Amino acid sequence: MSASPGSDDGVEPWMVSDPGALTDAAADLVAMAEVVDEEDATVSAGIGDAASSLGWSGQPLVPGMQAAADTGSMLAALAGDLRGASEALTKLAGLIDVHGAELRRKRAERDGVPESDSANFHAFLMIEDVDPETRARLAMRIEDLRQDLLEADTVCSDTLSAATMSLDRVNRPGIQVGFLRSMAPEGSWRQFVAHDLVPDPAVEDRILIALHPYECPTADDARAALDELDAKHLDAFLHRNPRIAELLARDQSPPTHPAATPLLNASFTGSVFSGGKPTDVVAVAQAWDDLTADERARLRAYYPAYIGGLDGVPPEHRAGANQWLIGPALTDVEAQIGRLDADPHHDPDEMKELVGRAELYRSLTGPAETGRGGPTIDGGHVVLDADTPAVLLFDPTGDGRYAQWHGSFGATNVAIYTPGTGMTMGGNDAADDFMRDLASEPDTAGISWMGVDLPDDIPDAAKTQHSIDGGDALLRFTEGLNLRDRQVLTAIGYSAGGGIVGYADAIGAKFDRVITLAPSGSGLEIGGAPSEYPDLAWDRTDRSHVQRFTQTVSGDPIHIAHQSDDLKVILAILAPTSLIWSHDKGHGPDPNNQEQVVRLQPGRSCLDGEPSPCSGDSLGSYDPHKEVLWPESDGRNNIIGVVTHGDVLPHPSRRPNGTVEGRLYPLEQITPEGVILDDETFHNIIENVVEP
Amino acid sequence: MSSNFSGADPMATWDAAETLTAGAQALADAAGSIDVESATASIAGSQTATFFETFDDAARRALTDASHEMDVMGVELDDLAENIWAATNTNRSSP
Repeated sequence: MSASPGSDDGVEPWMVSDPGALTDAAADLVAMAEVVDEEDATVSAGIGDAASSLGWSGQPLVPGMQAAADTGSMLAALAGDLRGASEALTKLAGLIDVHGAELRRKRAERDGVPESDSANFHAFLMIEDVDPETRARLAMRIEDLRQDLLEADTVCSDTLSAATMSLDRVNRPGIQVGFLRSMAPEGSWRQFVAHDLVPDPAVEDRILIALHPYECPTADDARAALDELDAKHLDAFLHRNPRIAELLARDQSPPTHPAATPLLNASFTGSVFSGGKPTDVVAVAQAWDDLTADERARLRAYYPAYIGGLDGVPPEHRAGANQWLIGPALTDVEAQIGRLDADPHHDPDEMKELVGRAELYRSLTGPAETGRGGPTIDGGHVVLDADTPAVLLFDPTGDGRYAQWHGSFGATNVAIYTPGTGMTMGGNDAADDFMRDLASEPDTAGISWMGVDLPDDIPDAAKTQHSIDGGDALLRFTEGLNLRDRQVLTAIGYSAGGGIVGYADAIGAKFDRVITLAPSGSGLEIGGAPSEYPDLAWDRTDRSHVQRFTQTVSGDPIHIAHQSDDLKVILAILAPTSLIWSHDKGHGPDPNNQEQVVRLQPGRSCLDGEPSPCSGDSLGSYDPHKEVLWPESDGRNNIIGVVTHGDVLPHPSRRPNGTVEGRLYPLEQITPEGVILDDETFHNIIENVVEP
Repeated sequence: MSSNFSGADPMATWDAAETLTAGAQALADAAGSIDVESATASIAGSQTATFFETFDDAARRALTDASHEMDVMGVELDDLAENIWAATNTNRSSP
């Protein structure tokens, strides 16, 4: 009779496998346990040092003592579990190594084949070649070895199971409050409690039990439970318990907590009776100021989506609230990317947008690239760390609404930049880069602002309503920044963003300077705006000091947008069904011809960081509309000059007789009519030209 | 937080914060250091293979949680150090 050897002896492939990978895993577990031991000791010493710095007179344990001491540390227990698992795996691997080898030999003897072929189930052999008695003896030995291995497998898996259950002490869902306490040297924790660095553990435990996942708590349940916690511990508690922080961050419902009542009342003061004026923003700012620091901390933590988007709440506090929204949004967008990735027919544009957003969100969870010099403290509460990105607006719905402050909150020069058509949350990195660069100038900060749904494409960009909605939102947002008297706000608008900035200026936004770049229009004469920029702000305060500038690269087709009749003809050709625009009036007249606006010369690209006036190629040879933002150029230097009260390059058409082409002029010497020269400057120029 | 920091040393607190942050990173790195896939593949079909995957999940979660806790504590100590510094050096910015 013939048979395939080994097919009916119950020996499973793992019993005769190479245990190398198992041995490696066991060794890795020991190495992991050593890391845990080391960190248990160093963290214990670190906590002890911190407690000592606050006045604790005990001694942190040195690593050698730590190893010998039964401190009950959860990390020590974790290390023990890891070692236990390693030991079990090592034993099993050793048995597979020894018994597996013997099994292979016995099976080879039994089947009468060379050992090297014994695992080959396709070998054809005559089993009658081995005498029955020997075969029976070998079968018994094989069975013994198999039973040993099965038993070792059971012991090993039981040990792993017990170790897994032991780890659950560390992994109790949502209840981790004791973890660090267990690592602290005896007595040192009292120093943290005494300094209110950590709350009363009993209170924290009660909250965690009330908000256990099994209870399916709502955001209001969380707020009610957290009311028991001192406001000073809220942020730290939520950082330790991201599940609860996420519960609050995802709640979009209007605030119902008593501390929010003054804000809600304030937010209703202007919406109906103000005729569109942002009186509610002023009222919200006042109501926020009237709250206590504890109430402000509670509202930032309880209603991050509401507070983070509420105009009138100071920027530092908006940023403090918005930081809670980033993590859940990143989780969502990564899940969306995963789903899209699994669909072979997915829309590549949608994927590009999601990937862009994921990169943005990740950057917002890391340290800010421009330092702010220190944290923002409010009555003992850390509102915003020194290196946490300052997100002033974060709403991922639709194309997204977003704003970030780059640089110091106390900078004298503050610029706010509104980008143009097609900009979405996932593609706004260039705006952030622009403002980050600007914030590298001395005493200067930059805000990238995308506070409205910007036009999707060129036909969409023709709609007047974009400038009106955007201008209204920009006025409200900047009013809510509540800048100090000495701070100078420059509004920068590019393309469609130029029409938005222009309209905000036309309805009385409190800008100090304005510079529009290849703007879609002046914002005048649309949506009830006057034909000239008013000297009074929306609240009738004086703003006659506002300086306005514009620059457009020669050959930029944006000039079509300034001529609404021409635009309609073009749109009728490009998109004949889009008659909806027939009542649109564009975005106001060409700012280049506006008497209140100084026209600047975008000039040339700069070679190797040379200062303006630069000697590279004239801008406009590649893409005139985009080149007005070129980083190393006279145009960029003009923007910096306007924001920092430096020098700019006037357009030749605004250069009066006697002034020199291709020369920079200080901002204060430039008016819409042209350059005003004092006698000394005039003589210097003449001398330099005549006798260089 | 309390503003009574007389005698407190912000530099020691900063050092402690850095210790915790570094420890958090070490634990986070350790959490993913085992090649479980190869180990379980080599003993596929055994009870141990199944239980080892469960154990690894639990260990990974424990290390991640521990890392997170230490990271948060590091941030809190950093904030505390900032407060101590602000309370004792009102006219200076933190290092």
